[in-house]
Amino acid sequence: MACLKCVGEIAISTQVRAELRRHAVHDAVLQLFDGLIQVERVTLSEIGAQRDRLQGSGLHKADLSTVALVERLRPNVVLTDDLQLRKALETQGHKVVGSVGVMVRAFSCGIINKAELQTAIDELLDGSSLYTSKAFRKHVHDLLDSID
Amino acid sequence: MPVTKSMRRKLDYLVRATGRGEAEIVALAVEEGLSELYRKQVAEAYLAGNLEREKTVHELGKDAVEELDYARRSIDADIEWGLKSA
Repeated sequence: MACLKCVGEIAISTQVRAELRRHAVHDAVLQLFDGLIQVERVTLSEIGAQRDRLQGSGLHKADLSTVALVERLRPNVVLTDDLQLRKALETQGHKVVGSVGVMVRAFSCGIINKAELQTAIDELLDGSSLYTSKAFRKHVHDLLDSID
Repeated sequence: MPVTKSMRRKLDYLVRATGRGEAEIVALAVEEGLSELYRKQVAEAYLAGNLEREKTVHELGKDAVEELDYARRSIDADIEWGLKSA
C-alpha cells in the first residue's frame, strides 16, 4: 500500500468508498493515505449514463462510478486491477495502470527495493485468479529481472 | 477417492436439489472438472509459448485468448509505465 504514495493525489468515488467499507479496509486506507485520498460524490444519474454508454461491459456500480469520475476529472492515470474496467477506460482513451505498475514505480522512486518489489508482486499474483498461470508468473519475473 | 465432509455435504445438496442420482452428479463433476483443468493447461501452454495462437483459439475460443493477450499486454504496459514515469 505504501507504493501508492508515489502517485500523488488519488480520487475515489463514494461508491468505491462503500466497497472499501464493505471489505473493512476503509479506515486503514484513509489513515494510511491521510490527505492523499479525495472522495468525490458520483450521482446515480451519472452512473446510469455510464451504464447506458457501456452496455454489455459487465461493469458493476462501483466500476461505473469510477468511469463517471474519470470522465469528470480527466486524471493523468487511472488505477485499477479490474481488466474489464481497464478495457472500458482504455477504449475511451484513458491511461490505465494496475498494481504492478504502481509497485514498479515505487521501486523506481526508491520507496521499495528490488526484493520488496518481487515479494509485493508475488503476493499480488498469489491473490489473483487470472494470473495464477506459472507461465504468466515467469513472464512477469523475467520482465522484473531485466529491471536494474 | 476419499469423500471429505465438505464434498459429502455438497453432493447431498446436489442430489436433493437436482433430483439426479449421486453417480450421475459425480460423473458430471468429473467431466466439468476435467474440462476446466484442460482449459487451464491449454492457457498455460499458450502463455508459455508452447502452443500456437490459432490452436489455442480453437481450444479455448477467441474471447478467452484475447483475454489472455490483454492481461499480458496490460502487465507489460504497467511495468513500462512504472519505469518511465519515475
